Parts: sequence; C-alpha cells; structure tokens
Amino acid sequence: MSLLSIRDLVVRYRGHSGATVTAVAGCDLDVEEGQIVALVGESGCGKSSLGKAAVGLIRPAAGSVTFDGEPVEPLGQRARPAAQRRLQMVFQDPFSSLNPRRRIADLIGDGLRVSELHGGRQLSVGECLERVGLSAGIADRFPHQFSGGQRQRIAIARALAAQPRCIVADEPISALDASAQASIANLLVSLVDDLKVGLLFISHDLSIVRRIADITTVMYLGRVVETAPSEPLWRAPLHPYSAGLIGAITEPDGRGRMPADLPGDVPDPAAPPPGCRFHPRCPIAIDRCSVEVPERRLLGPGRTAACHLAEPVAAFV
Amino acid sequence: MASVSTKPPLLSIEGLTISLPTAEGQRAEAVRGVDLAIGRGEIVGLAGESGSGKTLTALSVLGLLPGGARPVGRILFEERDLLASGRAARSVRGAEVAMVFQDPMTALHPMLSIGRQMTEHVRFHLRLSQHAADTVAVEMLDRVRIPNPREAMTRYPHQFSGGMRQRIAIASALAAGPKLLIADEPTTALDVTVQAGILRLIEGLRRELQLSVLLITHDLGVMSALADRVYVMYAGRVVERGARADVLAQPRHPYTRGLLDALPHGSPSDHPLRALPGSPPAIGRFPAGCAFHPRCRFAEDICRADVPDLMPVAPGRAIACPIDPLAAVPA
Repeated sequence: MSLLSIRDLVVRYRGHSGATVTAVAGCDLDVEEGQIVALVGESGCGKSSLGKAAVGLIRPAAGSVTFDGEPVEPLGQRARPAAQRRLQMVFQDPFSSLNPRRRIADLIGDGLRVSELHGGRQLSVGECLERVGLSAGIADRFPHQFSGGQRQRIAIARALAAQPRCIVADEPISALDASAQASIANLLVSLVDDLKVGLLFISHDLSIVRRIADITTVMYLGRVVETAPSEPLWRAPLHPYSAGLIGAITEPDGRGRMPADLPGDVPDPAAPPPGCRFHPRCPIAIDRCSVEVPERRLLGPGRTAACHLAEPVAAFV
Repeated sequence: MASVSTKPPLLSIEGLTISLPTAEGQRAEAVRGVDLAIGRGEIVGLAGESGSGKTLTALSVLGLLPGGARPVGRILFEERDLLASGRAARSVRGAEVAMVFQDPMTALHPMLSIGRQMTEHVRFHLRLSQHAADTVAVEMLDRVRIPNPREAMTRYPHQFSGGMRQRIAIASALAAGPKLLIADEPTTALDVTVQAGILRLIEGLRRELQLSVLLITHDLGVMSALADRVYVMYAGRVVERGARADVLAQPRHPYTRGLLDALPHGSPSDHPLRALPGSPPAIGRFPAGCAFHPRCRFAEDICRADVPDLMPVAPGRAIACPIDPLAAVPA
C-alpha cells in the first residue's frame, strides 16, 4: 500500500441553480515515501479539488483516500485525528496562508504542538526555520516583513514542524518571482531527499515539473489522462492532451519559436462532452472517441494513458 | 527586426525618470533614466522582476501613472512629446496607443455588454455612429477569433472563459486602430495552452496591421516567442538590451544570465536549478552603485562605487556592467 493512496475519487460541487458540477470524476493516484508526484493540467481540470480531498479539506462524493494505511476523514468541527496529522498541506499564496497578526514563532509553534501528539523528539522553531534556509533569529518577526519566497519558506517550515510523512503542495511556487520559484523548488527536492517525505506537487507549470517530479500525472476535465515517470512522459507523451500541453510550453532560448496552439477551451465541467472528454479539442480524434469513454491502459513501465489510440511504448508487451 | 532603421521610431522614450512619494514623505526614483525605442511593426519586450519599473515605464506612455508619480524626460510618439503636452497625451491615449492588462477583468467592465464597451471609445475617437462603430467592433472580434462575433456583442464578460476575455480585451484595445499596443503580462494569468493562442494572435496582428507592440513580461519564454528586441530592467534601470536571440541565447549582463539560469528549461540533470540569491530591492531601497551588486557573483569594488552606464557593445546591443564578465562565456 502506498503512503498516500487515492482510489476512484469523485468530488462534486453544487453549482448555480442547483446544477451539480463533477470536478473530479473518478481518479486514482499514489504517492510513495521519498517520491515527488506532480499533478498537472489546465485551470478547472480538478487538480486542486483532488489535492483538497487528499488532505480531507473537502468531502469526496465517492471513492477513498488512504494515508499510511488509514482512511483520511474529511475535516469537521473536531480536531484532525492523530493518525492524519503527518499529512500536511502547503498552499499557493503565502500572503494569505500565514496569519499576519501572529509572529513566525507562533505560526510554527502550531505545527510543533501537532508533532507532540505523535511522540518522538520534537524540533525547535529555530531548527524548523534553519531546515528551510532561514535564520533562527527571525522567529519574533511578522509575515509582512518577508518577501513572497521567504514567506513560502515559512509556510513550509510550519508544515515541517508537524514532522509530516507526506505533503500536498497546491501551486506552491506559482505566486513567486522566477528566482524565488527556483529556490523553493530546490528546497522541496532537498526535503523529499533528506526526510523521505512523499510530496504531491500540484502545478500548472510543466517545465518545473519536468525538472523535479519523479512521476507526472496529467488531468483533464476531472479525469487522469496519463501517468508516467516525468522524463519519458516529456520526451514521448502517449496522450494527445499531454502532447498538447508540452507543445504549448515556450522555451527561453531566443530562437523565436511560437508554441503550438491547442485550439478551443476546457469545456464546462457541468456538461462534459460524451466519450473521451478531450475529443472536441483532440487533433487525432476518431468517431469512437465521441462515444466510448477510454479506459486507462498500462502501456509501458509505470505508464498508463486513457486514449483509444495510444500505442504501447516499444518493447513493452 | 533588429536591423538598424533610418526612419525615426514610432515611440522613443528618452531619459525617463519617474519618482514616487514614499510613506516617509520623501520621494524615491522608481524608474531611472530609461531610454527605449520601438519601430513600426516591431515587438519590443521589457523584462524584469516585480519592482523593476517595467510597468511604470509603460503606464507613463499612456499618461496613466498613479497619483503622486512624477515623470521627467521625453516620451516622443511620432515626434509629439507626450510628457510635455497633456493635450497630446489625451489625443493619443486609447486611439493611437492602447493597452491590455494581465487580468482581462480589470479591462472589461463586468456590467456592460461586450458591444457597449467595445464601441464607446471607437465612437469617441473615430467619431463614428453607433452603427458604424458596431461594424468595426464585430470585425475586430472576428479577427481575434471570437466565435459568432455579432452574438458575442450582446453578451457579458462573465459568459466567456479567461482566454476568450483576453481576446476580447485585445479586440477592444485595437478597435480604434492604434499604432502601438502595450501588453502588460498579457498571458500571465492564462494556462499555457491558452497562452499559445494569445501569442499567435498578437504575432498575427503585428503582421496584418503593422502593429507595434511593447510587451511587458517577466516570462522569458514568452519573450523568446514574440519579441524582436528585448530590454532587461533591474531596479529602475535598463541593464541590457539587444536582439532577442542575442540577449536570451548569449546574455552579457549577470542579471540577465541569472534570470535565465533560474528557469527550468532544457533537459533535467542532477544539479539543482540555479536560483539567484536574494530578492529584488524595493523602490526607495535601491543599493548604491550597480543596484544588482549585492546579488552578483562577479561584483568588484567598482560595482559598489559607481553606477554603470548602459554602454554599446555591438550593433544594437548594450549592457550596463563595467566588468562584463560574460563577454566571451557561452550561455
């Protein structure tokens, strides 16, 4: 059993005028110890909903989330069960995720109090700060005294104070300047390597994902369309949507190459297209795609894709 | 293109300095002696991190600086000085120079139909009847590939996706037939797939309409796709300028090099991303000498003492770095 295991997850929201929107329509995902799993896709694909359901911030309509062998219960009025406190979350915007009226020591102290409950040696505030590359001397300062990148380090230090075994990070670098993005990405990689935590890294930025993630999972309109080790997925994507996403990335190489256009918009999740949800935008769709929902098939070592037309990779039977 | 033109540029910014009031009642310079030129049909990119002064530079062209900001210098648009004459600035704004913003919802009024907001300035600037202005707006919506443009005129911004809204904002900006489009992070709020469509659209409009574009973005990938020439700003000054291929593939200023090294392009390898140390300085706290020296791994005593001038190093290429440590280093 994986450290974090998500099976057949469905998340629904009630939309305007009583209509129901299915944001996550049956997804499987696994995160192992010491592994970075990236979840990518366009806005509205359901990746953030999946992340929130994974830590119990929203109640799934169906399916299961298991952390360390125990089911993750959606958070209610009462405190989070002790078994789930080693599953932590880091949010996108470090300007809203840190209470501006509390000192850094108090923010991190919350995480430390959580770790008391699962025994073992407790870290100090200073150790948590130094672990993320900040000085222990900033503990009595307030969040507004720091830049975006430093605040995200503080948010990560708070998650680390709880001595997590798995972290779900929802777009943790997309609100930051390019140089801060690189340093936060490096920090996350070193934490996963040193502490052997599992990291579910939710991002729309494929170029950073390629650099840091072991496994990349691509979502489209509530469904996982492809999962693979990052490098082979990038080099030879099996799903036409993955190919479209990769082709749309710009390279800062000065060559003046225009990114490939993937025409059309993500359809309304309240009324997803029949058959393969990607077929109206797919450059290679055939008649079958508009009728029959493609199953995820094993097409290579650790590689699955949900496309009628995807071929197994060479030398894989 | 980067070729040296004998014709005067469409827009020429000369010695632009912009000071802002600070919380302590002082004034601080946010833009410091910027020179920038844009030719007809040329796409010029302005790159830099937050606080580098790139957006203030652009807003000064439109006379849209925030209250209390004081610009000094010359902004020549077809040889009319927009800073010297409020009348010239007003007649140019929205008619000959138009702008699109990062978030199309800041440009589009949520309670007005697309048709209403696309025709108001067209009627004012071109002195057209409502009927004629409608025709212009429908043509423009069609050009930016909004499906059923006539029907779209009756709808409201919230009925469109983010990418469609940005197309509508671009159509609206171009409806009065401007010669210069200022695009401030036009794709930053969009997904890569939608971004690709907008970049292709801007490139197409440049070709078809001989439009000039001032593209402001911190995204050097976007810069690489679209810009003919690139200016890199740091702490209110231009630190490097040149043709796109030169600046991005052979950066000469350590800051440009640092920005490029921090990006996760190319194939992954075992070494981590090379982050620039530190953060960009805040306005009013720019370091003395070369403002980049505290973050520069090549800094010497001269960098702490003197402000480096932007010196030409090759045709069309200039850098503001007295030691030029990357002169012969391959990227």
